[in-house]
Amino acid sequence: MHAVCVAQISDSIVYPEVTVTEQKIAEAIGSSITEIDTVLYELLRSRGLQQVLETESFISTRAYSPGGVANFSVRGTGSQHTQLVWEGIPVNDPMLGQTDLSTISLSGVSGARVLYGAAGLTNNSGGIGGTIELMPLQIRKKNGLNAELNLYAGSFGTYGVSVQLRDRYKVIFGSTSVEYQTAKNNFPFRNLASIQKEEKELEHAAIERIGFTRSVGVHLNKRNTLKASIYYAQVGREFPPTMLMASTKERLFDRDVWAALNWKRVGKRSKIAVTASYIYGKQEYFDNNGYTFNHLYQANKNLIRYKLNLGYNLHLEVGGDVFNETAKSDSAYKYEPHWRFWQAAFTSLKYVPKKWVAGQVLIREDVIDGVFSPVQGLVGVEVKPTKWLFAKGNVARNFRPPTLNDLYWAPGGNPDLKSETGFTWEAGLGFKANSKQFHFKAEGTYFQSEIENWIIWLPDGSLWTPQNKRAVSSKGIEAKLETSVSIGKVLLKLNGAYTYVSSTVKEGATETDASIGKQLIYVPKHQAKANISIHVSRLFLLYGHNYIGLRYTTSDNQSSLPAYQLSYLSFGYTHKFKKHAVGLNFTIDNLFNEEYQTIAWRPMPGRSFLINLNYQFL
Amino acid sequence: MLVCGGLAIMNSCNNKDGCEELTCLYDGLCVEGGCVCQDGLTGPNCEIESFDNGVFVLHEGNFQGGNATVSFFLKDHLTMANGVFSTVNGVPLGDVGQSIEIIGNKAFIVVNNSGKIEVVSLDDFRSAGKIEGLSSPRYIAVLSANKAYVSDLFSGVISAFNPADLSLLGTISVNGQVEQMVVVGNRLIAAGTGANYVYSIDSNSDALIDSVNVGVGPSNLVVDSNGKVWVLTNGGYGTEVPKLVRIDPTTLNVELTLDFPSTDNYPGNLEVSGDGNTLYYVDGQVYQMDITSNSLPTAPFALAFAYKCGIDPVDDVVYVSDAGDFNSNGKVYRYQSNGTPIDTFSVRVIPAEYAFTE
Repeated sequence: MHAVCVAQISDSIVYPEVTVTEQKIAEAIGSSITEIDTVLYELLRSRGLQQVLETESFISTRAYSPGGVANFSVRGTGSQHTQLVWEGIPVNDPMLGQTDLSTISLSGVSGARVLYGAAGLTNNSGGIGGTIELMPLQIRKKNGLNAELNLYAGSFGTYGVSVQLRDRYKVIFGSTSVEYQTAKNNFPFRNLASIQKEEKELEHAAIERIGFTRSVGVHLNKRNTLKASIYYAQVGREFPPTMLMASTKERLFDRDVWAALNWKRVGKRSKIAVTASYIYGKQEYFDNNGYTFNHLYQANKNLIRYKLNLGYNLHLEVGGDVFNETAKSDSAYKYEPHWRFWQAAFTSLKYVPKKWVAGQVLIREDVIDGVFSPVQGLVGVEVKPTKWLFAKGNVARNFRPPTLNDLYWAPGGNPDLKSETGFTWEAGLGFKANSKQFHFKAEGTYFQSEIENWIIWLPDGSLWTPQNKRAVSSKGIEAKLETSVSIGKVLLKLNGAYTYVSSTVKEGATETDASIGKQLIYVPKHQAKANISIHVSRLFLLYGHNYIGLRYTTSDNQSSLPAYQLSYLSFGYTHKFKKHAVGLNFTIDNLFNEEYQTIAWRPMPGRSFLINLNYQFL
Repeated sequence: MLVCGGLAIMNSCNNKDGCEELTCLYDGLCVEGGCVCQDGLTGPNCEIESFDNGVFVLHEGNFQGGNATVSFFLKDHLTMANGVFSTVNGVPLGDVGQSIEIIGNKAFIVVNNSGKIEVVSLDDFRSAGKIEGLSSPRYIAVLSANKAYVSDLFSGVISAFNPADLSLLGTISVNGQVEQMVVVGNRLIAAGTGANYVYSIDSNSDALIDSVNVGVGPSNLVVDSNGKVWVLTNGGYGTEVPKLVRIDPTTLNVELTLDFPSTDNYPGNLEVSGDGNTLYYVDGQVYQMDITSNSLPTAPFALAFAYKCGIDPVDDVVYVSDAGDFNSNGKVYRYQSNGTPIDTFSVRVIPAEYAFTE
């Protein structure tokens, strides 16, 4: 709903200290990445990951209501084609194969990156569309304590508080975060399904989120570091009715625990990292009739990564994964637990000279319950013929296995499903110029993905069952512009992005399938975002504008939701004294009170306000 | 909020010169300021003059998609008019069109996920009221002009209502989910798919008087020309093989049980011809069976992929619903009762149930 901004960070704005983190997963050479702007991330964090990604990346998102179940599309694919990664561990729900963006607590997350297309293949498979990486809170480099308190209140019963602490004592370091958020979401809307189009108030749409993270680590010696991290989030959500439904009592309660133990050794020419993790997810769905349905999954996921500098600008990396996933559901699997044993190995060779060309070759193989995946691989190149010009590209093959629901849903699960396979390539060209006062970067990327064996649920007689009966071709361009000018205490920034995505069905369930050649539903062909901001000393004023194009709601493209435009305005002031900083921000969302829907017949809020008070002990 | 093709099916989106102010309904074309209508549609805007001698096609639409619709097929003109409810009434029908029943001069449209029954007059298809506050309504069985029943998937009750004034007359508590129902004499026979029982209810007292277990997941019921009730079970979708069972509605004695070949069969949508002598069901394709047969048919009646079907009680023409990928406009295939294809029409998203007017 806002705009894209990849910021140069103003010294006059208080923000968490940011460094290039070693926790980042390695990206593939020649691939596209969005680093979420730190200033905007801090501004949007209280509104959740969906809002952050919608504002900051080429991702298109849609939600059933504010804070409701949120799906998304990266490069024209579905939510299940993008992996969410925390501490290097893919944490998508193995039952659904995707992550509901609204369940993520960002209190213990310092930022996010979106790795498009095959860029995540260096860490995980399954991300045919891309990989979203959550960045942990930064490690404090000196002894002492950082603390941050964030309080906010807004329209439609929105209140929240979060606390972050980062501490260090000699070789021991850690971070803690706690978050509580609640929103009634009882905003007014026009019921377009009624004759009079009368105004109503959205009912039964409240959310409540609690988040907690704790990380503690120790530098055992100069080369060895041990770190333990835990993430906990619970979200209780009411499901509001559509404009065409009677009132509803449906509720969903999500609970996620991610825990990881990581050992890292940094040698002179090599680096080894071993991570053992435990993933737990539970969903309790309360239907209209008082029934409760429980879905539970657990996994232990263990990863090893070894990097070796071979000399001659050659860098070798080998990695292995061993995952054990289990899921149980009273309704979906009739209480029968199902397991999946997943192993993977990859090796990558990078050629990274300081000069003008870099390249990478990667090969990866996954084995799931003894069945070998299609061979995956990537070849990427980056070229910098001059200081201001760069070009890059890659070709890759990826895959996505069926979800546990696809395989075992009772009734209807299809254990004979094949994995989806994706062949992707991209090529980009960019221009950048920097000086002390001036920053300019313009970049354009063309991408294409051909996905075979796309899984779609269709009826067999009166039974719905998933089948490999579709092939999808997705292609498009991503263009972005970043500029900033600094004159004295004034910083002026202008950023923009445009995405075109043509994601069409290449082969349908039948020869006469009406979806053939048509755009996938809820994937806008056009998205444009822009923002402009001015920072004067400790004051800032930011205006953002988003355009989301028409989205089809049926696969034959006969029905659609119209394009919409959203704007936001934010301004704030930060006062610093010694080690303390106090900031006050005020934001107006949907400035022009646009009436819009991201999902058919699901109203979204008009103009709303949010005030945010932030205190930091630096 | 929806653009052309979403809510009302009009041609005003394709206006050409002289057509800016003109709306041509039901795929009518505006040419030089006038509507060129499909055959049988009249008036300056291509309206449906009469709902006699036609077929209503109820479309489920997508769950929570709010795109349930009704099409009307004018048999005399071989014209399919799509989106009748929203065109006439100016609002969408609702979420998941489940079933449609004609009682007197009204059509009762059960809209499952909207928890309501929309009632329209057959004179002009304008709204004549609605019954709201239902939990998950499924099917209607008609006792008389003043009493009918509606089953419910989740509420644990069958509701009795008066079709004349749309008042609720009472509820009958039953165990578990209930799907289709039929009235035979003074008995209401209901398929209790949740509890695996077929219930017998006295329609005078609305008291549950008997029940019988005929297999797992009894879902569909029809009455044949001998007054016998045929029950189609779904087998619990893999728990056991589905069954087609004939029972005596008075004693609930099971007279015949025909097992489907395997648990990979998923039959549904049991229908009966107008004379009550031929059964039809859908198991990927439509199958046809004489009521005197002692075995299930091995070959389909028609090759077309079928989601559901309907049988015209007057001329025995078989209407087959093809829902495609269930997220795009579907098709209706018509077949003669001997399996000869007649014609095909494009309809809306997930064509499902049929109702026939005289």
